[in-house]
Amino acid sequence: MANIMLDVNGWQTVLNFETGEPVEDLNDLIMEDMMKITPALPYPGDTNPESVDWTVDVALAVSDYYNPDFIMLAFSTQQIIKINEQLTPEESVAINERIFKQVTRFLEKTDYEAMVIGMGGMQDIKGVIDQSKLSTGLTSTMCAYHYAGLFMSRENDADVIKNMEHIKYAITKDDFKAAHPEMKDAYYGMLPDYLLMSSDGYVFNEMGKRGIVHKKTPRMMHELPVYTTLERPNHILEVRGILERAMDEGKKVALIMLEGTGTEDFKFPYNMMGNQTEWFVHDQGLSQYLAVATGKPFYNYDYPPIVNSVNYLNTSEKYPYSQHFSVLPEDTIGRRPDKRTAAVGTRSGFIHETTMADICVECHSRQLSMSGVFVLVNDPKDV
Amino acid sequence: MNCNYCEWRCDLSKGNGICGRYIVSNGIIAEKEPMSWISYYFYRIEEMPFFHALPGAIVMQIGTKGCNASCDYCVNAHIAIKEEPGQTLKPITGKHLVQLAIDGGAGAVVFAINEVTVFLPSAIEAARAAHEAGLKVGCLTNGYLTEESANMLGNEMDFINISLKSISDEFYQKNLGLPSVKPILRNIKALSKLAHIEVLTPIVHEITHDEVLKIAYFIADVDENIPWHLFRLQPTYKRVDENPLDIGAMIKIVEQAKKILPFIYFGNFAGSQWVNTRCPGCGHVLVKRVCIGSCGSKFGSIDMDGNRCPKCGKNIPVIR
Repeated sequence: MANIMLDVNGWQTVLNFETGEPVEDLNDLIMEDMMKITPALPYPGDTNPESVDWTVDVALAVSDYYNPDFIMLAFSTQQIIKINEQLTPEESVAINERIFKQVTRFLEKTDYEAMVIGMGGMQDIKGVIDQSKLSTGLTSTMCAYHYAGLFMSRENDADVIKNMEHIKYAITKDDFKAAHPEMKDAYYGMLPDYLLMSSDGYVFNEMGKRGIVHKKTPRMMHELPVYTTLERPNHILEVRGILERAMDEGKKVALIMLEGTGTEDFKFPYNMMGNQTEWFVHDQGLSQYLAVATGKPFYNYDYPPIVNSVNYLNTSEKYPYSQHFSVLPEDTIGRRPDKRTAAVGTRSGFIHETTMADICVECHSRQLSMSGVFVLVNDPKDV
Repeated sequence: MNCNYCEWRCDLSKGNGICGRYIVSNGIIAEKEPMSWISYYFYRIEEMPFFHALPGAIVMQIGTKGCNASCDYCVNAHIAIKEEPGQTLKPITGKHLVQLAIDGGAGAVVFAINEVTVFLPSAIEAARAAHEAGLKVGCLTNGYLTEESANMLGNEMDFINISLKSISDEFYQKNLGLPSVKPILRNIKALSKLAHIEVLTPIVHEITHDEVLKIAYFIADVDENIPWHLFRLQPTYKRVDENPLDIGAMIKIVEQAKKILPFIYFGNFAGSQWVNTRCPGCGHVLVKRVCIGSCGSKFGSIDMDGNRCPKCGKNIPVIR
C-alpha cells in the first residue's frame, strides 16, 4: 500500500496515498526511515536559492538510503525566482551557476550516468493577449504557459479567435479528436471548446494571478539542450527508452531536469533534441515531465494541456494530496517493476504525479507559500 | 472631508487616506477606480475559508488592491500593502462579472484577496448584480470598519469571514498598525446579527494558551455556533526569517479550546486532521475535508440530513 508523509516544520503525519486517510498502524519500514531523514532537510522555500542545494542534499540522502537504479532530480528554483523576482544580471548568473555546481556535486558524489535536460530559458514578457472580445474568460494555468482554453464558448467566438493577435495555433475540441482518435474518452471530455497556443513570449490571463506581476516568462522551445553520458536522444519522447535501455545494461541513471535553463545558460556540452510533437510544443514544466517519464505523446496523457478549473476542482476524491491530478499515470519509468526508482525536487506535485517513482521527495508548496516536505513511498516492489 | 468607510475616518481633503483607495470627487467620497479588479479566479469555498456556508461550492474569488491595515505578516502584501510596478486593475461591470462567475460554474462570488472595506461601493454593486442572478455573495474582512459600513456589509453579504488576529490592542498596534481591536470586536457582534459569520485567527506567532481561550470565550459569548478558524501561517513578508509555528504545541491548545466552542478548526498546513466538521452532539463526521496546505482545504464529502446530523438529529448551523 502506498503512503505519503507530510513533514511541516518537523510535525509529521502519515496518510494513505489514495484516500488521504491517516495511517494508524504504519507497517512501512521505508517510510519509517524517511521520517528520520526529512527533519534534517527542511525545505528552504520556492524563491530561496538554497532550495537548489536542498534538491541535491535530498537526492544524496535518498541515494545513500535506497540505492535506486533510476533517480530524477528536478530543479525549478531558477524558473520560479525569475518569474517572480526582478533579478540583477549578477543574481541571474549566480542562480544558474549554483544549479550547475550542485548538479556537478551530485554527479561527483555518486556513480550515476547522467541525462541533463535544459527545459528552456526565460525571457521578458512580450505582451498580454487581448481576450476582451471573447464571450467569456479564457482558462489558463501555471502548468502550461503558452496555452489557454475557452470553455462555455458561444457562436461568435470562432470569428473572434481567428482575428486574435499573437495566437500561434488554435484547435477546436472536435478537430483535436479527429486528429488523435486514440485519446481516452475522459481526455476528450475535459478538452476545452477551443485550445489556443500563444506565440512565443505572449501570455494569457492576467486576471488569475492574484495581482502577482510576473517578471519573466518561459521561452517556447522547439528544441532543448541535453547533456548525456548515455545514448543521445533526438527527441524528448526518446528519453525514457534510452534510460530504460541503460538500466537493462545494469547502469544506474540520473535524469536531471533544469527548469528555466536554456541554451544560453547550459554549462555542460550539449546537443539539441526535439521538444515538439506535431503542432504541440511541450511547454516548460508539466508536459515535459510527462514526456520524459512516460515516453508518450501529449494526446495519450490522462489530462489535456488545459482543463476547466471546474472539472479540476471537482476531482479531489482520489489522491487528495496530489495537487493537480486525481488520475495518476500507471506506465511510467518510475513504475518499472524490476528496478528501484526515486525522484526528488522542488516542483511541488509534478515530481510524484509524473514519475510515480518508488520514493518521491518534493517540497509541498502552493502559490509560493511553503507547506513543508512531501514524501511518497509507493507500492512496494520485490527488488 | 472625512471618509466613513473604515475606523480610521481619514480626512481626504488633506490627501490620500490610509488605504489610498478613496478620493473626494464632486463633493462626495468616491473610489479611485470603481468596479475595477485585480484578479478573479475559481476556488472551492473551503479555501477562502468558509466551512459552514455552501460546503463544496465553487466560488469566484475577486478583489482589488490596498488595505487599511499593514500587517507585518501579510500573505498578500504584494497587493495589499506594496505597490508593484505594472500592477493594474481591470474594469469589469457587475453584469459581466456575474456572467464570468456563472460560466466558471460558481455558486457564489466572494470578495477576498484584499480588504473589502477599501472597495465597499464596488463590492455592493457587484453583490447586487450577483444576487439578482441568483448567486450567493460573501467576503473576507479584517473587521476594522465603521458601524455604518458594517451595517451595509451585513445587509449585502450572505456570509462574512472576519479576521480577529488577537484580543489585545497591543498586538494590533505592534503588528497591524491599527490602534485597537475594539471596533473589530464590536463589528463581530453586529455582523453576527445580520449575516452568517465565521471568525478567522491567523497564527504566525506563538500564541499563548490564555489568549486562545480568551478569544474562544469572546466568540462563544457572541454565539457559540460561530465557526472559528485557527489559521496557521508560514512566516512571511516582514517576518519571513522567524521560526514557524510549533504545530504540535498548538494542537494541545486547540483541544482545550474545543471545550468552549463546538466548531473550531485548525488548518492551513498540509495534513491537518482538524478541518472536518463533527456533530457536537455525537461526534459524527458531517463534512469531511482534506487540508492540502497553504490556502486552505479541499472539500471531501458531506453527510447531513438537511441541516441535521443523520446520527443523532442535532441541528447544525450550515448554509446549504
